[in-house]
Amino acid sequence: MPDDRAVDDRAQKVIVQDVVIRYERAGFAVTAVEGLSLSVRDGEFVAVVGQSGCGKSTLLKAIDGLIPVASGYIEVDGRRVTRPGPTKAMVFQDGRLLPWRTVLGNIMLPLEGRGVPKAEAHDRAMALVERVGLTRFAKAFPNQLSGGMQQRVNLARALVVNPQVLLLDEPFAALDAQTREYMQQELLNIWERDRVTAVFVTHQIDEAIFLADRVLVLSSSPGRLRREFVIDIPRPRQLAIKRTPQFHAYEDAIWSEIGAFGGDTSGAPVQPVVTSGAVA
Amino acid sequence: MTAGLPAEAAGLPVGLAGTPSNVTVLARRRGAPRFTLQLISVVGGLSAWQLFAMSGIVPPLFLPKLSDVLVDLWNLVSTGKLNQHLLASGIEFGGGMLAALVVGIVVGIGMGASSRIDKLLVWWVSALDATPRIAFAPLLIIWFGIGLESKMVLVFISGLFPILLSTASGVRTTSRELLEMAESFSIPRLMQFRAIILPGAVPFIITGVRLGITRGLIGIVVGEMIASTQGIGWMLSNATDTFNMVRVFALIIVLAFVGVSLTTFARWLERRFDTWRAV
Ligand SMILES: Nc1ncnc2c1ncn2[C@@H]1O[C@H](COP(=O)(O)OP(=O)(O)OP(=O)(O)O)[C@@H](O)[C@H]1O
Ligand SMILES: [Mg+2]
Repeated sequence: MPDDRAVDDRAQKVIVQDVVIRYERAGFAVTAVEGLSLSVRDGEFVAVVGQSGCGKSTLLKAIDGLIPVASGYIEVDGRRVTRPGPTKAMVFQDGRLLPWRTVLGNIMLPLEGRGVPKAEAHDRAMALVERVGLTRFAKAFPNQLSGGMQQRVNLARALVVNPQVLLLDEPFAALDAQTREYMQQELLNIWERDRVTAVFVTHQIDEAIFLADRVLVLSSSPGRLRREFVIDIPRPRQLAIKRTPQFHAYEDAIWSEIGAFGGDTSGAPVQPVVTSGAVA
Repeated sequence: MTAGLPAEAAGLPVGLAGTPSNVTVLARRRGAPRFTLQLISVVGGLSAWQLFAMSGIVPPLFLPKLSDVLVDLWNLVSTGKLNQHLLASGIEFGGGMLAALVVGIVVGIGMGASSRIDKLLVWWVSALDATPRIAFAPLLIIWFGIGLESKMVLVFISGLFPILLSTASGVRTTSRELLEMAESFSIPRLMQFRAIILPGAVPFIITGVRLGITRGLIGIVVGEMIASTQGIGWMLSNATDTFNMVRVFALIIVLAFVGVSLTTFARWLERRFDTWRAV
């Protein structure tokens, strides 16, 4: 991969260095992540793929500061992460919306938590409701929304705090294929505006390639960085690029990387048929 | 679509039978006989009572005529006698329930949120909850006299525990996922409580209140029957002592009406707040 890309001049926004994460439960410990090192540059969109249980969610939660590292360290903006903070925001796989609050109320929650005055919180949340295309549903409750709409609220709730680092944990995994593709495009359109640093965890290889500047492949149990792929496809991207030979070549390369160590691809999508072409 | 099945079976075109307007018609047709059945049941039952009492098979002391009971009820209402005693019972019930609500919710939240408070109180709460509340009635009358206060306290301890226990379990069952989300967005503790834990517990609290109301109603009638100077329970025991069976039946009808009204109200509240529990 070429090294002279503009991307590489940007400052390191997130640094994960030799990180070990263990879960203690009833006396015995499970090592979820071991010796993981990676970094994300400012404004970079990085996708993380790997088999189920390899520690992707754990990594995201640790970057967010929800769980501590047993050894190694995580830095955001050069500062050690010890707990969640105002510069980071998480989009959870399961919506985690408050069922008793409206769409608007859910998006206002993080602002209220920060003591933003009600009127200002309302206006900022409303602006995001519009940005994710839910204006007509601002007063609806989550159980009145489709899965795709709920995930937009989930995304809006994270974006409303103007995070510098956006952490997304399989936000589209529960959606049907069509809605998922639609949401991928929506996410990119929204992201194009201020190109906030993003770490996007997913099982879908094509989703990772379509969205990301770089795809990191984690090895399974315990999680380590197996390999990374720089996705050299120009932005802004449209869904049509998924049918280009270049895209298929990336898919092919990442699939063979996953196949090289896993073997077990149960629960993962069927390998796509590669037509022709090589990585540009 | 279930509404389409009978039509299919009957060989009708499904698309036609399954239109929304047809579904509404079906529902309406199904609703009407249900109401008619209820009406038949009530009117039929009451007529049977009247006819049976008129037949003279049983002496009036066992079963007075419904017509006599209704006349007595009308007299009670028109002379204001019933109102006066209902008011007394209402004050006892209202005061006791209000205190039960406040204490039950506050202590319930404490026990649900802090395992230390829970450990401190759990034995007392379980023991008192398991004891039939009526057993306290004689004691309360000795402590608080035969006036309104003893009954108020009886309603309080009757309604308290269901409210307290379901509030505590409502607070305890707050979703871990929602709390982790709140943590991730650095929502302060107090706001987590106000915006997440409490609203999540509301349906549990309402269920507790419904149970509390039922138990409080029992408490008030029995408490007044044991020792008092006024109230519906006092009227009831007075009528029994003088073998005034017409009056006894009139008062039972009043109590049935009050009980049904209160539980209907509580169920309505429960349903209102249930819309978000069912997510
Ligand atoms: N709360 C927990 N307590 C104990 N072990 C846990 C906990 N959460 C995760 N683990 C373990 O840590 C490992 C990594 O889990 P994690 O959820 O990070 O995987 P993942 O890559 O996100 O998987 P998936 O793709 O299925 O979401 C797994 O072995 C899992 O069993
Ligand atoms: Mg996960």
